Amino acid sequence: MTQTMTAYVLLAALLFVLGLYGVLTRREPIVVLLCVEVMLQAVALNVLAFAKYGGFEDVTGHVFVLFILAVSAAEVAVGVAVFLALVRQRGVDDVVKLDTLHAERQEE
Amino acid sequence: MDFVASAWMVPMLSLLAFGVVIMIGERGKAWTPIGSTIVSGVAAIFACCVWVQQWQERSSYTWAEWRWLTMGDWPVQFGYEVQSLTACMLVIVTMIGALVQLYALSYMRDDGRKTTFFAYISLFTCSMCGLVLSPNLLQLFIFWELVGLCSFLLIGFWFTKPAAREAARKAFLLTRIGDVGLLIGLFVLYHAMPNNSLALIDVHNAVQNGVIPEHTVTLVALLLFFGAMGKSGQVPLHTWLPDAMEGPTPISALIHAATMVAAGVFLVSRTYDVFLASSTALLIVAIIGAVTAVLGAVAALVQRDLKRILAYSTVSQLGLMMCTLGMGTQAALIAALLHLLTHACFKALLFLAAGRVIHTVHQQDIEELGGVRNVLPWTTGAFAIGALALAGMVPLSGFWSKEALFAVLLQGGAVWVTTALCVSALTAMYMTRAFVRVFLGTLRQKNVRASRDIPMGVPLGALAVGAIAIGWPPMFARLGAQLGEGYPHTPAWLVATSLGVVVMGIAVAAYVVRPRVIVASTRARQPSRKKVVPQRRFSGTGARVASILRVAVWDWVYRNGVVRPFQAFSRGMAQLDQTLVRACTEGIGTCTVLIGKLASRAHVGQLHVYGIWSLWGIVALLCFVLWKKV
Amino acid sequence: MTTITLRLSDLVIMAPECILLLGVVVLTLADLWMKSSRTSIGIGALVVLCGALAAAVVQLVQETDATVLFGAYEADAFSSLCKIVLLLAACGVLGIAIGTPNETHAVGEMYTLYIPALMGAMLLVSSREWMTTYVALELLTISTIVLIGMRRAAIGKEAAMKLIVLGGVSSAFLLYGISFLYGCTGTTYYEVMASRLDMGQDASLITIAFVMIVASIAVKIALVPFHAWALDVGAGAVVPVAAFLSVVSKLAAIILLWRVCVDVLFPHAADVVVDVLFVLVCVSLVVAHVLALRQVTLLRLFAVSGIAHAALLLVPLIASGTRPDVDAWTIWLYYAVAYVLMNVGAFAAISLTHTTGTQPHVHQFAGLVYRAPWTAVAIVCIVLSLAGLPVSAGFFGKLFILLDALSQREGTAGIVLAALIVVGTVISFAYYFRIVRQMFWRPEGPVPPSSVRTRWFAQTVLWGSALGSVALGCAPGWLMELLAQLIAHTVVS
Repeated sequence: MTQTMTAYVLLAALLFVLGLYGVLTRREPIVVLLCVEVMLQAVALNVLAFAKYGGFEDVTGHVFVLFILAVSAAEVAVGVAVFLALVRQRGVDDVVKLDTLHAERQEE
Repeated sequence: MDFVASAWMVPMLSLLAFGVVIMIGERGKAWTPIGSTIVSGVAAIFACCVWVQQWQERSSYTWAEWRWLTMGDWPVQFGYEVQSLTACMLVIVTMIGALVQLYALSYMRDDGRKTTFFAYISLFTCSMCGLVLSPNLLQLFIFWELVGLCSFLLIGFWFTKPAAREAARKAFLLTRIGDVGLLIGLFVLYHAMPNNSLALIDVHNAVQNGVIPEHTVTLVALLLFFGAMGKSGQVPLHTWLPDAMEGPTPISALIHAATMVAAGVFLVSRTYDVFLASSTALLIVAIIGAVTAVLGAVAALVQRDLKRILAYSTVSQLGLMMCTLGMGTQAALIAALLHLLTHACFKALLFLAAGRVIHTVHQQDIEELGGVRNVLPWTTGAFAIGALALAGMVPLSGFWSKEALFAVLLQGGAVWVTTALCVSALTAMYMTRAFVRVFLGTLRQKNVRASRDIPMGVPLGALAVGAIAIGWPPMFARLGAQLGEGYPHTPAWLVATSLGVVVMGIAVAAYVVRPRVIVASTRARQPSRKKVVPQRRFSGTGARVASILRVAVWDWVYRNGVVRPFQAFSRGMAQLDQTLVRACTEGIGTCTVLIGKLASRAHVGQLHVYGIWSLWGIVALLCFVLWKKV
Repeated sequence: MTTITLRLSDLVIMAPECILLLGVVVLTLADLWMKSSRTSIGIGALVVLCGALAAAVVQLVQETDATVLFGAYEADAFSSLCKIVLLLAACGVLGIAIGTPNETHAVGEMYTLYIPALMGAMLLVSSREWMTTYVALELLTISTIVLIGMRRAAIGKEAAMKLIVLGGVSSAFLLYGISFLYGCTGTTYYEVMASRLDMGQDASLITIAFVMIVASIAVKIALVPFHAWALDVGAGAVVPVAAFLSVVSKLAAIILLWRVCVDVLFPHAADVVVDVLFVLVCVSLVVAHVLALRQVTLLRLFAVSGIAHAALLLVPLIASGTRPDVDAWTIWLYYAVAYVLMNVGAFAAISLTHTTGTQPHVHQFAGLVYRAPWTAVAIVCIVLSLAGLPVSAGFFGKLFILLDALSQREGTAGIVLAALIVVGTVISFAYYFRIVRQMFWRPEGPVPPSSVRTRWFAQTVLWGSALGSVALGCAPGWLMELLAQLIAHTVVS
């Protein structure tokens, strides 16, 4: 029982770190958004593992996972909308090019 | 009428004037300045009544009923306190305030923002009165900040001049450094006081009963003194004061000579118990005061700008007062305060006279001035009275207050009184130099016409009378008695020595700095701009022949043996002041700005970079926590 | 097994949020079906906020102290007070929004979207359970992202993209931390979790989870080194949205941190968490002030100075150590009110002087005193408060926080905090007075005189904040006593 849980938790940790690595290194906005999703789903997996094998007598964990899924879906929907608007307006498909905000005259 | 109990009227009148003038604005520029002046005159008369009544009844009155807020256990009660010292200060502030407003009626006549100027002066007078009347240190601090704000606004009044803007910025930042010290001092005191009270009377009792531990008292005293250093232009926070001369001259007279810069001395006097309880703090006060006095006097000797000479002289005299306060006796307190009062009077006189000269001739470089005596005879007289009083010539007011200082310093030790005598000699020298250069000799500017100007003349006359009258011995002794017991008595030999030093200073300066008489034939030879003490010039062919020998031998010895080394020393000191001290005070600011620039550059706008920063942040926090745990 | 029913009385307890929800639905429908003008939607949103405000005030007066949804939502005096502060701030932001020319794609959404965001912030205040907290936080964040992204200029979308990614990562870290706490205790309720956590058994796991939670909330507050997004996002948003970000979002996140610390973190690892917060606050104070020195783009400047104010707002929490007493809460609330007043006022000033289509720059204040003298006077009042000079709300707020830091925290920590606050204040004079210098000492700037339009809503907000700042400075005791009285029984119980 505990061994199964540990395996799941380790898998979740791996997913989480993979997602984080992706966010910090990938340049395509869509992939970056997907990597954020991977991090969130890693958390969902973690919670599920605890809920199923942690020996608790209620459904809190399962409900929590549903909430995580729903909210992250909303978040990614907004993310994709913003991404599309950016592509249309400026033709940007690279996160590295999103640096105009610092380029404005900010110093005396 | 019970004037003492209604002393709150004095700041309120000024506040009223401020409010009305600012509300009416430019529309009333024909009459609001006059109205403001009249109100300040009424306030001054009221303050005089308060003073006289306080003198007669020798009572102190405190009203602190308005409960403002509760800090810890201490209810902060706002109110006012009238006692001998505050009554005297009240008279000085309102009197000079009223005279300066009268003067400014003429001085600022053609200025586009005249009403703003009068509003600021009214606000300043109000805040300064509030500062003087404060019964607790928190209220004092609030008014302390307000006078600083007014000073900042008035230095930068002619903001179209870049120098004025720069000076205002510098004054604001440097005095703020001092204020932060003061604020920290208040916190430490608040913390150390048994009932968390900052009322002056509670502080007095607590220190007298020895409730506060020794090292805390020292710390508090030093921090309070740090605040006073910023305000009163003590080394190394003095550099803003000479630059502040970019403001209008009436402001220099009121704020940067007579009242606001004296607030530091006032603060130390009001919290003198704290200083008396700590010998270390007293010693530091004395040393910084002495250094400031000497440095200021030396710097005044080599300045070319008339107003800057007076500004350095103010720095020097304030240093003298601080040095005296550092002696730590009741007599020292009285002597310093007497000098504060007389100095306010004659320094305001000097500034107003200088302002009259500048207003008429439109020149304030003393190497370009000369012969103003012929155009402004009365102003010359007023300036002479002020200069002699500043130098400490008998029987003017400055003489008596300086005698008191010397007596106290003598008790403190020979080194202090020697320093003070040196400063006195230097004072006589630079005032003589300024007087000779500006008023004697030939007028260089053409088409200079001085019309009779009553708004400018009356304050000059009144202050000149004041500079003489305060020195009237019975008057002076009574003033001393009003301030407290233990008026110091000077031994006769010291009086003689000090007078001798002053006379010698005047004589030496008069010998070195001859009036610049431009004879028709030598008019082409313009004086060299670089020389601070120019070559002596002789007029007339007869004198020329007779002086060949003197020029050859005596002058050579004199110049190379005395004048040159002394000049080099003065310049060196001035240079030190310019570079090292400034570098220390201003370098910190520059460094901060530089770091800000670098930090700002680091924000490159890249998502990845920000993400990695955050990641490192979390990693660092985790390491920190685990390290803490282990 | 008990059946979960939501009774009508429960809805009454949640009245402020319910009114907002109802309001946003009605307004959205009205916007869709009726050809209503932009301003009327804005005023409608303002009315909704006022309704919620009234509900919160009634709850405060009636001393409502109840929980619903099995304790996931609690309405007590402190949360009612926080909600009132947030609602007032949001009213100010809406006032600015109505007074600012539209620079976005949207028409009505520009106003209606503030309401769900505010609802998230208010739920965050009342939430006592992690799922509710998470949903509320995301409601706040996602609504704000949409508000930012609706700006017509591309920088708005760029800012929104940055906030989505960094906000998403921080949410992931928060959830990851929560998931471990859930794994240790099997519950998501704060109180139950606090009682079940066992430091003896899984000390390092719990500590790591705590650090993750604190760090991810620090991202939302924008404490250094998690602050970088705030500068870019603040500069990319339109003025009212930037105001919302720097006032409402920030305050809500700070309240969340207080709540989480006091309920869950402090009972088990007070020393560690306080140390972490101490480090974050010190670094933030130093970096924010120094960074602000060089900023001339106003929105960046206020984004940076907001970091410093946020750090100040955490000082009472650190100073109190384990369990903040009435004084700490009161001081915090006082400074929160002062912060709302001065920041909303500052953004109103920016909006009033700003020409559409440009980035707000410090030069827009040049010579303002000659164009609009009374506006300049109001701005001076606000700058005095921001810089913490007497007599203003900001001065007393800082003073109380400083005294609290010195008196509560013995030894070097208190002195370090106090010293940093004081030094930071001195540095802040330099950058805040740049605005005053521009207004008084520069000839008229590039902005033509007519650009200071009579925008009544923004003017009202500006004057309300300026007078409020001065009034709080003149009578700080009054508010302090009122606040202390109101929250006394909440904190003691």
